[in-house]
Amino acid sequence: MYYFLNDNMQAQKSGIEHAEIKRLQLFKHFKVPAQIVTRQFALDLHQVMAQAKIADAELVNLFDFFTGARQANVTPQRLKDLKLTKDHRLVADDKQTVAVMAQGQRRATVTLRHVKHQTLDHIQYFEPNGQTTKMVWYDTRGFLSLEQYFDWGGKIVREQYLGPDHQVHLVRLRYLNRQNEECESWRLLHYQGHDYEFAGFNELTRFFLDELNRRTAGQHVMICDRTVEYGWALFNMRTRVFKVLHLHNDHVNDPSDMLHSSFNSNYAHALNNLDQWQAVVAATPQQTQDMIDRFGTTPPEYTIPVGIVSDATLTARHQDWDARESQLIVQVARLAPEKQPDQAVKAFQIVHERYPQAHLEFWGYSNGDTETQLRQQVAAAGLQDFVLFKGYTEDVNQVYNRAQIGILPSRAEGFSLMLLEAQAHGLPMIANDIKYGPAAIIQDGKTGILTQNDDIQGLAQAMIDLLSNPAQLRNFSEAAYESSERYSEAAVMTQWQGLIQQAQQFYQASAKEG
Amino acid sequence: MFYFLNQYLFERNSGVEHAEIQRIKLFKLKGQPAQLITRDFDRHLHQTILRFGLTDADLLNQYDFFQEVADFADTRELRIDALPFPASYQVDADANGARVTNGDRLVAQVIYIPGTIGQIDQVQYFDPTGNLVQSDLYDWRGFKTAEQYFGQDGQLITEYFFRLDGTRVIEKNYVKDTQGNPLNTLISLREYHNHNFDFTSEDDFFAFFLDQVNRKNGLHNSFIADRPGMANAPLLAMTSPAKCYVFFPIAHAIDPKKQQTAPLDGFYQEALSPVGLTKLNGLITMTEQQRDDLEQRLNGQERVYAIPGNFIAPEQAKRERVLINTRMYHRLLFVGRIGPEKQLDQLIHAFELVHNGIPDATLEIRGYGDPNTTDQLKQLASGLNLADSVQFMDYEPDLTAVYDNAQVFALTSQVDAEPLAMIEAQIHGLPLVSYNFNYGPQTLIDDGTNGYLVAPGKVFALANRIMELFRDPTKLQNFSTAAYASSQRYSADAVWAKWQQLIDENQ
Repeated sequence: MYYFLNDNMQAQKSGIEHAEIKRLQLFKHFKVPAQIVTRQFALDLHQVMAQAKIADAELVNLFDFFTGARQANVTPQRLKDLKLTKDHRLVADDKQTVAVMAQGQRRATVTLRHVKHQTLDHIQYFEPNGQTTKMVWYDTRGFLSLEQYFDWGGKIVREQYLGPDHQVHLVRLRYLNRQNEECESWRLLHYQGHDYEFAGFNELTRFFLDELNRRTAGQHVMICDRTVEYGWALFNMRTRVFKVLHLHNDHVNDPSDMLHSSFNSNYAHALNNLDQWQAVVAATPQQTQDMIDRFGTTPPEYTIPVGIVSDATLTARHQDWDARESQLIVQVARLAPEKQPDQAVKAFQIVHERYPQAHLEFWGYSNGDTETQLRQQVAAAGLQDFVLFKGYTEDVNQVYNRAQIGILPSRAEGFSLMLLEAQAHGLPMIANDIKYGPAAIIQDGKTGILTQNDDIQGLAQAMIDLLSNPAQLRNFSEAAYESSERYSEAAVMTQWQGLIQQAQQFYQASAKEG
Repeated sequence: MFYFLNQYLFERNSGVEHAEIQRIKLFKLKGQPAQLITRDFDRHLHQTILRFGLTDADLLNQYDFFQEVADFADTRELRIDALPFPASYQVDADANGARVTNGDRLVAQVIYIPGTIGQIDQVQYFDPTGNLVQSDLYDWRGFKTAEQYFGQDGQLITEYFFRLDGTRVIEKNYVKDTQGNPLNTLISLREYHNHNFDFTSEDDFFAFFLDQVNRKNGLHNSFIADRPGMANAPLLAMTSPAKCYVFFPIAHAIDPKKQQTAPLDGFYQEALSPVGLTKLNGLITMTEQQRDDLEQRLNGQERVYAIPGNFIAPEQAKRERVLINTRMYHRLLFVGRIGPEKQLDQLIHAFELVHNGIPDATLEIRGYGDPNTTDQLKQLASGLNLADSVQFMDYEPDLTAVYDNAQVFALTSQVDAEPLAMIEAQIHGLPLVSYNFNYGPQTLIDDGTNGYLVAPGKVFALANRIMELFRDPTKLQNFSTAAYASSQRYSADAVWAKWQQLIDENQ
């Protein structure tokens, strides 16, 4: 089994989650068994996964694993399932919440998930003096999955995780250390007949990975997409497994000094323990070369794109150029400082002077107050009618199919799925030639234009050049469609073969030793 | 079925529990189904009852009932190897318990039941800084029965009680009381008859429980509230049809000498109110005097039964009488709970006089009580140079040998409902010398025949009567023989006849 290790999977996904989901689909297509592994608790995990079209069987969440909730076939709990006695009265607080009253006291506040179906989301319980004693939460699949207990100081000191069997399987204890900082320890109950105590979440994760590895016979490969979260657990496993470090961003802080720069904090622990990995994957040949230059070829380095263009996309009818919105420029990316949307606005300001009809749309959720600052910048430039903030969308393809130019003035990227997807939808892209991704994806002067980081004038000029030559822009679009063949499912799967063979050899060698 | 309502049964008990234990034994002897009901959670209850010759079938505890373990038949000695610790954890055991460590970290502390060899009492779990976060509590019968959770301040916040299959039945929530101690403010009963109930007091929960017991056993059962402070109110709050009785283990009015007129003890005000009385089938006293006082007070509005709280056990009935000259010479005996109302300082002062006249006289004070009173009495005895002749002896369930070894039984109490030890003493042929207080001595003592009644507070008179008996072996033997004869009023048949009357009148 190929396990793709991630921390969490939320409705708003970053590039790493998108890369994992695409990888999962790719492996499924080629019948290589694979599952996404997450370790954070979320009530709506299975709802989010369903929206991402990931089946329950393709997901192993740490809490699901230990609470027996990987697949839950339960009847959702409703208000009537609280089985209140006649001396309790229900009084609506508002549309979504209901008070449970007895002897003139509020005993509980019930928050409904779906008002129409009266299904339960969470309940806060009170004792007669009005102190909160506990809160309980329901998984979106309908069963009570989390209980939180409050102490006399009103702090949550104990969280219990339950499965569809109504049993408590995991307990998180929140305690204070001598500095009065909140720490946590864990108890795992009834697991294979034993109760286990863990001093923290890393220890629990370590145990989880070992059990995952041990639980099924066969040769497992753990591809770590979140090294900060999994590093310690992977390096301290008791069982032997093929471990893969998957880079998703530049591994150093200073791209101008690849050989000596300090490590990107996300990868420092992983790279300081490079001997713990059996293989390293980078998404572009440039990053692979940088890794080899600095660390040599042990462990083996593989270049495997994180972006995949599906056969369906490749064979889809090309969008009629005339159906695209004239002079619509888009930036599809999280609104985050490293994507430099402020530079996009500055460059667009120059473009707007030449092409007053041009529009710029930002698609993507905001990190921190980036959006607030951008809106101020746009307002100051008087461009509110021409620069629009469209938020996060699950359907980015319609954005790519509407626009005439895409831009990505990032200062750093790991690969940029967005570039690849946009190009696959025939959208000519203008992107900074930074580490890593644009140089591998854009064929400069053919499918799009590579610009230099921090060169706002150059970025503006690139847009003006394309807008001023509609025929060329159209040709770029056709070339973009064609260039995506390089990232077809078959092409990317071929890239995986080296690693897959190495993993087989790893286990064959250990079988011989054994 | 008869149910006798109490709060608990301890290793050492007061008169209420003894009266109930005797009553259970009598009912059993006569084939009348009866159970002792206790309210409080007690993991060692089923061990305790063995001390008093009771069986699991004689008992119904509230928590057992809801946890569905009242009939648990698979009693076993649970030891540490049955606990679910992983093999990699190290267990370091001593006589009292064990420390369980994972590497350097103390994970849990196992505590054994005192006096057993490694039988699990509780398991305490700690966070990595060593603070108690959870206790798992085990029943003496060998299963996990409850869990307690603690907050960051180390205080109890929540308790769960389980069925054998591990499902939760009862949840209790605690908040800080004005003294800073845990105060239980909410009791939740889960998945009982497909409903979740909650209660804001032990009384409400207990009343609910009594109704459930009554329903489960076909209604119209008989309930006797024995411990007034906790049983009277829930008994009156029952809603299902039942035969309800209130028992008097104490005098009913606050002034011991004015039982007909003084204000009622607070525990009985509701029960003896006009509304309260309509819910009751009868009142039960242990003596005729208290019955008469109550009847007079209530103008005959309520049937009052006088039924002794003790009887002659069949094994005692078969025993040979013990002659005075085979007993320890000049041995004076007191048996009872040690408390201020027993006025044992007066008994010690009286004994000082006896000791002055008869230097080999000894006094045995047998029983338990609040440590302050006991210490004061010990100091008093030492101060009077009686440390060697006044012996303080601990409580024991069976005192046959103690009674059979003494020559006179003395009592200087202020008030009682019926001193059960006094009956016990008479059953064992002991002449009784006692203050004439309410209630008991007048019934038991035929003055000048089987003992002496002395006016309350007359220490010299009491001492003189004791010396009079000690100095006249013939009289002592005659009194002892008369005591054996008088005690026949407590024969199983005689006492049962009174119960039978109660049963017949309430068919």
